[in-house]
Amino acid sequence: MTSIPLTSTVAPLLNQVKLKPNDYKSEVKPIWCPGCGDFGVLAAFYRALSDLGVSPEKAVIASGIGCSGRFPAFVESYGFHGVHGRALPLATGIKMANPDLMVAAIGGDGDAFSIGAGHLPHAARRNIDLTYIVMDNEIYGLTKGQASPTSPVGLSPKGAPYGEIKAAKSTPYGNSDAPINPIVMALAYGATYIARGFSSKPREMVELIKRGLTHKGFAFIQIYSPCVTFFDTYDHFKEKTAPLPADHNSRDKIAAFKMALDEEHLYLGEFYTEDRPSMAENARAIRERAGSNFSMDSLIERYKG
Amino acid sequence: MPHVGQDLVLRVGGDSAAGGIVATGEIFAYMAAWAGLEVYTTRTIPAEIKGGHVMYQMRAALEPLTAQGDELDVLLAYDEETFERYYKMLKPEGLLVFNSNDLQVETTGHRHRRIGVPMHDIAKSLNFARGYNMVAVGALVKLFDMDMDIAIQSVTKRLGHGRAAESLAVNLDALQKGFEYIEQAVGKEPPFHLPLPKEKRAERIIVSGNQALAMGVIASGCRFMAGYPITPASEIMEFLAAEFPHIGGTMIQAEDEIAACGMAVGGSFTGQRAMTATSGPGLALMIEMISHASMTETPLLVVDVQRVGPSTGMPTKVSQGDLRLACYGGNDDSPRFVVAATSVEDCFYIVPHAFNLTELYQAPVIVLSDQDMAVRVQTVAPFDVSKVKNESRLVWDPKAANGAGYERYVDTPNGVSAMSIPGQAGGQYTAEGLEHFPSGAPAFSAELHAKNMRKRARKLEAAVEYVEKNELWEEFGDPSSTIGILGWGSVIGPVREAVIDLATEGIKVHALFPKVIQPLPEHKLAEFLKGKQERLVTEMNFSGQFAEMLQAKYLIPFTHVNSYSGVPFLTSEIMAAIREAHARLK
Ligand SMILES: Cc1ncc(C[n+]2csc(CCOP(=O)(O)OP(=O)(O)O)c2C)c(N)n1
Ligand code: SF4
Repeated sequence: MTSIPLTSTVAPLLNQVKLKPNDYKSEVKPIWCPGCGDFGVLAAFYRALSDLGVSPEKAVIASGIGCSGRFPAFVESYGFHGVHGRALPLATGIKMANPDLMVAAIGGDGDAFSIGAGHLPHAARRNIDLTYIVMDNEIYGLTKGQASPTSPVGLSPKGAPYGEIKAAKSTPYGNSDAPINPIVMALAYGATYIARGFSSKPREMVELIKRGLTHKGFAFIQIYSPCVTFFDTYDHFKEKTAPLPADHNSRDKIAAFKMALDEEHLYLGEFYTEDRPSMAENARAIRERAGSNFSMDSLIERYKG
Repeated sequence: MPHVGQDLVLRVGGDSAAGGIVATGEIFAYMAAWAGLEVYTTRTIPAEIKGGHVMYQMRAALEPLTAQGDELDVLLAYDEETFERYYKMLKPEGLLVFNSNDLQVETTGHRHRRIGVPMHDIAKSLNFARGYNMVAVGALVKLFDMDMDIAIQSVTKRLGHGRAAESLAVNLDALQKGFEYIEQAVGKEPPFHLPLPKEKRAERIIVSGNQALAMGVIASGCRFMAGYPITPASEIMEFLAAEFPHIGGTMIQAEDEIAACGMAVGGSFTGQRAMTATSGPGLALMIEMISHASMTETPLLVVDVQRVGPSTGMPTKVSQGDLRLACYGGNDDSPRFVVAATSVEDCFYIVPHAFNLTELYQAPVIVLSDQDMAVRVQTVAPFDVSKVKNESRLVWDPKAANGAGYERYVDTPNGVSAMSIPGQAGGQYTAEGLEHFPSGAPAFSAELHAKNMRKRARKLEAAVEYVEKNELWEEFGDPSSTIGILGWGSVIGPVREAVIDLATEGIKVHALFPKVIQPLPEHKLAEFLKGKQERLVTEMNFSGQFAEMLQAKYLIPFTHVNSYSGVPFLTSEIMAAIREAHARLK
């Protein structure tokens, strides 16, 4: 991975404390099914915070609804469990109202790419300085196994092109809607850090999350996180995923598109990164341009004759 | 309150494609305001971007005005449609001023006086075809016997900067030519005299409801706003976008109302006063997030500048149709406050109270304004910022906690629990939209849910104290009267005039307008309703939303007095309803 200068608004939040990954565990016990991929993501998140030395009180995690939405409660930090699909607006408000916080947003594939899909382009183009982790299990978990926007064509209760399916009751005749490609989407929208992980690859995941959290601007991380209960895709992802080629240049957007569109491999790693002013930096520049010459009296004065 | 002959109502109309209609009205309104008169304007905007009929009305008097005025003293018609639409509203002794290049007026059958001004010809003679509206302003200045110096000052102030400055001279020429035309055509003695003040009067500012409201937001200490464009609320967002950067604030134009509301909730979660502003369709989208703020007990201020619905309705017309949505919209019971601004001036003063309610009680507040109040400019006393008292939310104090674990939703007598702010060590919690333990951890027991429902609802009961202590209502008329008139929001203006005018006829009425609809000032209302035999409720919606709320609460009938056509109540309509009530008593 190429290194980029660390000018993120989170830079001052690093190396503040020495805590073990377990110290970031809250008292709330995860409700996820044993074997759910989300456990791996959570463990990687604890380790990333520990490695970076983030004070628990300086971190805020916002989420939507779904199995993924429960994530914030399991982390010893501030959290906001929102409504379905709205993790990004909540996180945007949190970060812009107080840029001195380290903000992450968590979603599921339904949460992020269906109901909340309208927010992704805007978080990306604003380059809001936060990390969005989408735990993609290609199914709706919490509502018990309907097709999601990343489900493969052909998904039905009787079977699926890959993975063991125990639900998909919403597509009894087989899913005919083509799945969206989250990495291509994030590239097209202009996210400035784009990566893909797999919940069974803990070490790599930790690195990607750390890079995301320290990246200046909007970091988008898709993580394959299989749902053992409704659509078990562990074997599929083990077989199909591969690290991005060592010579992949993550500053080359066209190359990133090519890698993301590859149908042979589901590449893992850092697809793309770019240095662009963050939303908070732009807001600061606007304030400087506007100047601080203001008083309530002079504002009212303007409306006199 | 002015009576016949003491005020002057001028209406200007034309096709918006021609341009300059609103400018004519506005320049004249500002001129009257700067000459020391009280001014109250109202306007209709076409839904079309280009083309469509526009109307701008100005009422001016020496005393403060609270309604638009029912009849016209002067009608300035740029085209035939304007004449056809409004000539019946002209008083018999009224004056029609028309653009004689575009409009031939029948001279038979009309009693009012009429003066044709060849506005286009005059403008063209100056090689300034677009300046015909300035010709019209000049003509009005002479017709009203106003001081040309004030006119020149006003036009200079309005046009004297930016791109318009280049054409200032030619605009002033057009103004002069209009003035001279009347001088020659009508003679030295003008047909109208504005009742100009003889001595210097108290200072006034001239603002719209939206501007006043945005200033109230700033005075409240709010520094975070997210919005999404919608008529007629956009101006609030635009205003704050311009002013916030000076004071370290942030305005985000979100991708939609759901996002705007979510950003405001997120901003508030960090400890800041945060808000959003929208109109009906946007409020409908925000409801899920408002319920979430209610459940997570996050302060949130939502302004709803109401317009006519359902659906997209008539975006540029007035209504008070969102009361029910504001009070009850949402899945299951989600307590929130509903505040209704009563006037342009009140748009400023009510906002700090609304922020105090949401901050003190940690429940969302919806502030209701309306299209008419939001866009009309009016003279009001300069806002007195010293009257604004901002209260703080109850923030968790780690020192006082003495090492005890933090519980975000611990139950208390008034339902309010201390809020920890991100950054505070030891106060970590997750704001939880699912039902939850006091710690914030999800919980689904029947007992806990019932207990939490009561906790959240108790805030509304507790907040009645704030509402009554701050007397957040307006009361006028004769308390001994057996006729009571109620209402909310800007309807108060014409009601106030109706009550005063009827008193001169010997009909006594007692009026009460709560500024907080949820929770209502219970003691005040009980006292008001005592001994009332006729109870009227005036509001600009079809079904009588407030009247039904009152009926359900007090189990007594209320007479609905509704207007739902998209135009503000006329004072005469309210007087008629009161006269009927009076007749029933006999
Ligand atoms: C507005 C709204 N619509 C629907 C739901 C029901 N719902 C809850 S979770 C969910 C889907 C979750 O799927 P995904 O985002 O993929 O997350 P997962 O549970 O798989 O982690 C839905 C549709 C809801 N809570 N709110
Ligand atoms: S339903 Fe699926 S996604 Fe949800 S917790 Fe169980 S395994 Fe995980």
